[in-house]
Amino acid sequence: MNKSQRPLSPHLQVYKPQLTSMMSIVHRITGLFLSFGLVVFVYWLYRLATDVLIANEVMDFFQTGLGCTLLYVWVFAFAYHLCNGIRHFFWDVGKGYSLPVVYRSGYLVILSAAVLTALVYFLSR
Amino acid sequence: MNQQTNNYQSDMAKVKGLGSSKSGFGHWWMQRMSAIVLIPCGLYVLFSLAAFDVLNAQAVINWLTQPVNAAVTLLFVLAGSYHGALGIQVVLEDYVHNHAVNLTLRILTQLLMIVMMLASIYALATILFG
Repeated sequence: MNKSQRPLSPHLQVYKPQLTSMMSIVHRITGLFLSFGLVVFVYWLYRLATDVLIANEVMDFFQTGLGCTLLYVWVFAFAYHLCNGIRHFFWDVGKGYSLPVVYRSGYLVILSAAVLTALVYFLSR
Repeated sequence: MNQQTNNYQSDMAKVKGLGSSKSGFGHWWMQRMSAIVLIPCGLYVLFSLAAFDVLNAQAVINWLTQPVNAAVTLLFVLAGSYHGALGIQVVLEDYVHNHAVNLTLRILTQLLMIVMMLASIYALATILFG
């Protein structure tokens, strides 16, 4: 039996992308991305305590075009993962499982995440 | 029918040893508990940093010398490291099917989590008391 060559469930390639499945995978991707972000955050905290010059260099990087873009992708990932996490809490207690509600809460999560990101953007101007 | 109220397995499932490995619920529960901690703490840290007039190292250090700010930041990093490690474990279980690689990556994830926790405790303690 050639186990390693067999296709793996859930055969993502045969399904049409839908809001529900896409939001689920984005929840995972943002989670992984935020884990990486927390490593950078902790490194920065450590450098604040041990070497202020390096801490300032880290902050200088996040003022550049690339750094700033990365920072706001992180802010959006945080906002999205937080809002969709709250959506998961409703599912955990058995609420919001009907298809129309799943779609409505999905759009609400995307809108809330965008609003939160915009709030951070305008607050930091 | 199962007479015990704290076990929902059927007798046959129990005899055959099917189902839960007895530790999955703890993972699920702690993921939720750490998430509940992360919502207020994460928002507090995010909006505090966003509201800085001048964002440089000294300004952040001054902010962190306020015990409340240091405590919330520490709670954010501790709960976040734990929540992240739990999440990465699920992703590894789903996508890494080689047992040796899976186990190695899971151990590395947990080690990284511990290093991050210790580094943040050291950093915040140094800023507060150093």
